[in-house]
Amino acid sequence: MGVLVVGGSVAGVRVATALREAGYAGQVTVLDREPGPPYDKPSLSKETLTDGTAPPALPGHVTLEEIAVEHRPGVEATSLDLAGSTVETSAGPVAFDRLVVATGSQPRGFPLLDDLANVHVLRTARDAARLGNAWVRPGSRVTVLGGGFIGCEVAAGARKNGLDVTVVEATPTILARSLTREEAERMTALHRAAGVKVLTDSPVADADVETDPAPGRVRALVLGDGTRVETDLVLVGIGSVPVVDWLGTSGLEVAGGLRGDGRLRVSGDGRVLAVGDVVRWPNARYGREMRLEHWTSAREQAAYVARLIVDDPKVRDSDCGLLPYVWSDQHGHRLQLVGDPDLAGAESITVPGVEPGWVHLRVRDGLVVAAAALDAQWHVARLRRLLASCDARVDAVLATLVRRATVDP
Amino acid sequence: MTRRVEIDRELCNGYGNCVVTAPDVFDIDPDSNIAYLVDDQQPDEAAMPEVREAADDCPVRAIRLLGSV
Repeated sequence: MGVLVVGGSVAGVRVATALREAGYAGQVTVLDREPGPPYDKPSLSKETLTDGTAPPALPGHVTLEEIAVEHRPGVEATSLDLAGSTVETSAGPVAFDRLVVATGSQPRGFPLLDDLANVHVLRTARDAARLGNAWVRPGSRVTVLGGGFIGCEVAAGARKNGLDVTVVEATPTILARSLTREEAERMTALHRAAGVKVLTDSPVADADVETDPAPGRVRALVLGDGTRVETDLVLVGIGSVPVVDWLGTSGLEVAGGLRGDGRLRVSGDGRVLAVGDVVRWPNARYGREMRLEHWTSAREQAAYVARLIVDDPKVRDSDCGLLPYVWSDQHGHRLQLVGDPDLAGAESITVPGVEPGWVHLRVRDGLVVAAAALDAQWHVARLRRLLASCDARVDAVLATLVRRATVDP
Repeated sequence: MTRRVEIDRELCNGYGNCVVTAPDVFDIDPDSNIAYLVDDQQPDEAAMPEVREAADDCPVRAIRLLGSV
């Protein structure tokens, strides 16, 4: 019995290692619907795609075998019987004392392009291999549908590999969910300088599809204004949806993500918890519900839940509050975002002395609630620490970040 | 026991997670964006849990823990 973790990506594997670090001696089993040993996903849209570098193995400095965690690849959870404390899987039922749901998210589909031979998504190592194999043909015209993080990274990777790339974004700017208009325009300029065509305000109205031979290929995307974007390959990067289908009959609340309480508990009795992309929970730091799709948040939630399971006094009476943090690599530049993802009502203050990069503090009522930065890793490492416990006064933050420019030679 | 911590400067890509996790042990060079050991000092045994966490926190596994048994 013991702890059953469903999901063998960063969140699920981190639950297992954190349980052992917290002294949990019972059985720990990780079910993983993907084949093979666990691996880390951030490189899939970066070096793995462009250079064929294998993604790093999970968990890191130990293997799951070394810490007596059973990893079961190729086993997919199909339903949850809460009353019976059993997960039904593709390999038969598995009983649990405590269950941690870490099934993550999967790419949102674009119905006009579903199931076509030259249409891709990027989530798993298998997706990355399929995409990498498809675009090695010289001169391929790659169309990236959606100007979010994945789309922008793939576009940059395709340019690095010498392909002809167009980003098609329905809204007025790329990266619109995370950046101010001005920041997004700077990122657009970087893409254009690298030779990426960026089409914003460009909803796709139709697709020109060659149906024979099956399963068919898309020849061109047709935009709202009638423009045809001829293409050899399309990467659909329009967001992701939590993997909750298998919980449909469980009685748990799954709309918009598996709903957890402040301690990431998803069942009333607290036997079932959730971590990673799949969970929507009231982030104690902000007092409002969030579903974060970030590598760092997944690891932090996993460590919290492991401590909760062993009844660690440090978390027993405190809800899970996280500082959102995400990074993205595009055209050799590092974009980093930290703090409250809601930009509404925030004033932007530019940290001096960062050029050619930039750091923009997002400030409300004299407090730094978030920041966005390009090529400013030293600054962001400090910002993450400054903001980790509470929002910091803008003058204190500036004193820390600007000190270097005045003190160092 | 971990005897020694090394940062692979070729692998390090300036993610800075180690600086956040173990700020007394790691920092990042503002010009090269490569991590280094603060004051070139090996961490003492008390800092090792943080160092191990930092090693796992590194997306490219650029922190090596040598001499573990």
